[in-house]
Formats: sequence, structure tokens, C-alpha cells
Amino acid sequence: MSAVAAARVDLSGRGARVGLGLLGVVVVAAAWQAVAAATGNPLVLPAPTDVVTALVQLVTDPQTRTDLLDTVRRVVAGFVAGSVGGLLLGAGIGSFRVVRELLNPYLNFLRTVAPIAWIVPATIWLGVGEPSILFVVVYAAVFPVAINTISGIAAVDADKLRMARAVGLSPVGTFARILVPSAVPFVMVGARLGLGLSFMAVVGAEMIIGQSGLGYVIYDARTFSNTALMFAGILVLGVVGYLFDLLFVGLRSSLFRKYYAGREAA
Amino acid sequence: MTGQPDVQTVPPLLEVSGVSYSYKPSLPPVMEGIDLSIRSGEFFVLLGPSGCGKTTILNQVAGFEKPTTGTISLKGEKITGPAPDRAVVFQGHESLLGWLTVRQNVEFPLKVAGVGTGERRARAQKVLELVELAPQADKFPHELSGGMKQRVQIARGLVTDSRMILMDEPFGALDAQTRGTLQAELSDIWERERRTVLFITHDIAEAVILADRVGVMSSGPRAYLHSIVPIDLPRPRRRTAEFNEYIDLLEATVSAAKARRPLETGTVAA
Ligand SMILES: Nc1ncnc2c1ncn2[C@@H]1O[C@H](COP(=O)(O)OP(=O)(O)O)[C@@H](O)[C@H]1O
Ligand SMILES: [Mg+2]
Repeated sequence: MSAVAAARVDLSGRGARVGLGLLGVVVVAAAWQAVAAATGNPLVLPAPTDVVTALVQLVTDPQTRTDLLDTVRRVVAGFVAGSVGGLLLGAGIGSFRVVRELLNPYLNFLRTVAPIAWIVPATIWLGVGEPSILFVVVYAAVFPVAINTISGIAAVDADKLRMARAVGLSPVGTFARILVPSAVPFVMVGARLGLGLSFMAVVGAEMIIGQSGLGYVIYDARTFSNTALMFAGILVLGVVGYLFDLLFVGLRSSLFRKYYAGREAA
Repeated sequence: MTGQPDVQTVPPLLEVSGVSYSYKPSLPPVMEGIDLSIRSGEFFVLLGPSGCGKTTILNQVAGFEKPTTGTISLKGEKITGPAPDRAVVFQGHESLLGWLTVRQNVEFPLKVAGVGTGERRARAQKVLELVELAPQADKFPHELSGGMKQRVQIARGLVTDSRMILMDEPFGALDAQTRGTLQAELSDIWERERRTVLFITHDIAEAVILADRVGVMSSGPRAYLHSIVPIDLPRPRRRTAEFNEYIDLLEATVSAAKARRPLETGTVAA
């Protein structure tokens, strides 16, 4: 009984959590190495050791570092523009019943379309280059932010709005001081989703029309049949996406803490 | 003008005349034919069973809803919508802004009214001290107890020089002890400030503790104002024999109102 209880306490500790996580990585890497050795064809499945070598090359090569920065720059620019646009769009739609009813069908239609599907029309409108890639990234971020902002505004407590009317707050004031602040937790849920979707969208766009970026690197590795490099690129993408998510969560809880009224942000 | 103005000739601050309200034309009115005058500086309590339409009346006085028939006027002017001359204290605490500190919440109506920072600070500090919340001024609402949150709302209601404060069962969700403390505090604050109050409750003792006059509602639908009972007791009000007589009187009135019949004389030894 007490031994079981002790083991439970142990496993919930921070050290034990990290240890278990590492153990998982090691076991999977070992299994992978074994399967790769059995397969014997690095074109189909490169061994983890090959991937690590490719990874070192990728990170130390100044050219691929530029690729990494290009991808990050596109994600950040597209995500910021898309989030701001989504916030304004969502707040506008959420605040006016008529606008909401008018635009809701479009919103629900457009948000289900994969952002990458727009890459071809985008090149016709904006040319084959940066603006088209940004268009796709912005598209990926706009809808989750807009939809969640609309939900946030719909969830505002009626008494807050009545209080605003009773103290004589103008409609614009109500929007800025009541609706937007109380929608913040919802907006953040949308923005976090939007950030993840931006990373997905940028890779597709870079593969199709990019001249640089991690998506381009992965796609380009095909010309040399360099599967290890593809894996290394995917690994870098995953790590960078993960780090950005951590950064987002960190910024959210330091900058927007007060909008959560003591609740943990989801 | 000579001598004291006659109470009868001073126009009431709030005048409710012939007010009925239906949420839908197909539904019977929640209440009908409500006539009511509240004098300036008076603490008026509206007492009635839950569901009789007390909140509905308050919402019309606040201007959130318009009467289906009849009119409500403040200082002779018809009420057409909410305005800062009527502060509202809501039943729950959802109207507090969770992203603002207690002080910022209390300053909010002043900020909206364009009052400068210095005066805003000073006035908020004064009412925070009045409701004994000064030590909590820089906390956020979620860090406070239910009773403290209602004090923040009361402070926010007092901070402007609004003619009236409308309170919708502000202590309804609190435990008995906290409720008792806040009732005593409110009575005390009112004595000092002499703001006109329309206070809603379904609690008879609360009405006796707070009111100058109690309006007793019948039950709904088609609720009406059954009678108005003046409470002539010195403040602070303690549980004296006289206090208990008022409780008995109001209990009898409330039962009569529920049965929609006049109060039979002789039922209460007064
Ligand atoms: N928005 C609404 N739509 C329809 N009926 C309502 C609405 N709000 C309240 N009512 C009804 O009106 C009556 C009076 O409600 P209310 O004024 O809240 O009563 P009280 O505050 O006295 O408890 C109740 O029967 C209630 O169900
Ligand atoms: Mg009510």
C-alpha cells in the first residue's frame, strides 16, 4: 500500500516527469535504429544517427539557417497580421447582430477551406513570391481568431453590458472597455490555434512556390533523394513550432493574466 | 417661500404611474397598474415573493426596459433609457470587471464621465473607506469574498453623485452573517449620505432593517402593489419588541398580498 503510494508521489515529481519523457525518447530512438538497420535502405527509412548528422549539417549551414529564419519571419508576420485582422473581423461581426448574420455563412464556409488551397489563386493575384506565401499564412490565422472572438463577445455577461449602459458608456467605449477585454481568453484560444495553423500553412506554401524556407528545404531534399535531410527538416519544424507555442503560452500568461480572473488559461 | 416645504407639495423624485409590463404580447403582464412615488432621500424597499416582477420593475426604473403601459419619471422627466443619474447594484457580481482592480472598478463610472485622475482617485478612496474596502483596493474581484464583491458594487454605485441607487437583492446570495453585517453597514452609509435608494428584496427582516417605507407586492402574474408600510424605527435598528411588531405586520401583509386580498385589521396587534 504505502510503497504504491510512494511510487505515485515519485512519478508526479518534476524530475520523474522529465526522466520518463527522456526514457520515451530513448526507447523510440532505439526501436527506430533497429527497424532502420533491418530495413537497410536509408532512402526509405534513415537511421536516427543519419538524421542527427543531417540535423547538425542543417543547423550549422549558414544557408539553411537563412531558410529557418525565412520560415520564422513568414510565420510571425502572417500570424501577427492574421490575428489582428481576425480580432477586428471577429469583434466587428460579434458586436453587430446584422453583420453577424450577414457574414456568418461566409465565415463558416471559408474557415473550412484548407489555406494552402488558395496558393494558386494567390499567385495569380499577388505573383509567385513572398506576398502569396504571406497570404496563405494570414488566411490560416484569421479564422480561428475571428471565430473565437465572436464566441467571446457572445459570452459577455449581460450585467456587464447593462452596467456599461447605466454608467453612460458609449457604444465604442463598450466595445473597447467591455467586449474586447472580456473576450481576451477566447481570442487567445483562437490565436494559439492560429499560430499552429500558420506553421502548417507556411510549409505547404514554401513547398509549392517558395525559393527558401524549411518547407523548401524539405521539398528540395527530394532532388538528392536525401531522406535524412527531410527528416531533419521535419524535426526542426516540429521543434521550432513547439518552442513558439511555449513562447506564446509564456507571453500570454505574463501579458494577459488579468483577463483570466484567476483561472488557468487553457 | 416660508417655513418648511410641505411634504405633500414637494414633487416625488421618482414617479411610477400605471405601469404594466409583459415580456410578450401573448403573455399576461408580469405586473400591472403599479403606482408608486419615491421621495428624494428616501430608502424605499420593494418586497415581494420571487417571480412577482421586482427585477422587472427595477429594470424599467433603470431604463433597461420600457413599460408596456404607463410611465416612469425622474424629477418630472420621463425615463427613456439608462443614465448615470441612476446607479445600479446588481444581484450577482458578474457586472464587476474582472480585469480591473477594485479601485479601478469603483473609478469606472467616473472615468466614463470624464472626471480627472486626481478627483477620481479621491472620490474612489472616500467610498472605498465608506464600505471598508480600502485595504483591498488593489486586489482583483476574484480575490474577494462574495460579501466584499457586493461592497465593491455598492462603492461603485455611491462614487458618482447619482440621484438614485437601485439595488436588486444585493445580499441575496450571501450567508446570513455577512448579510447582517452588510445590512447594518448599508443602513449606516445611507444615514450619512441620504441618497435615494430603491432596494429590492424578498426578505422581510431585511426590509425592516433598511426601509423608510416598504412596498409589498402580490405574487404574479398580474402582480400589483398591495400596500405601502412605513417603518418608523430609529437607526441603527435592533431587534426590539417594536422591530418584531413590524416583522409581524409585514408577514401578515405579505400573506394577504399573496392571497390577493386586503390586510384584515385585527390580524396584527399593532
Ligand atoms: N426575459 C424574460 N422573458 C420572459 N419572462 C420573463 C423574463 N424575465 C423574467 N420573466 C418572468 O417574469 C416574472 C417576473 O420576473 P422577475 O422580475 O425576475 O421576478 P423577481 O425579480 O420578483 O423574482 C417571472 O415569472 C419570470 O419568469
Ligand atoms: Mg429578481
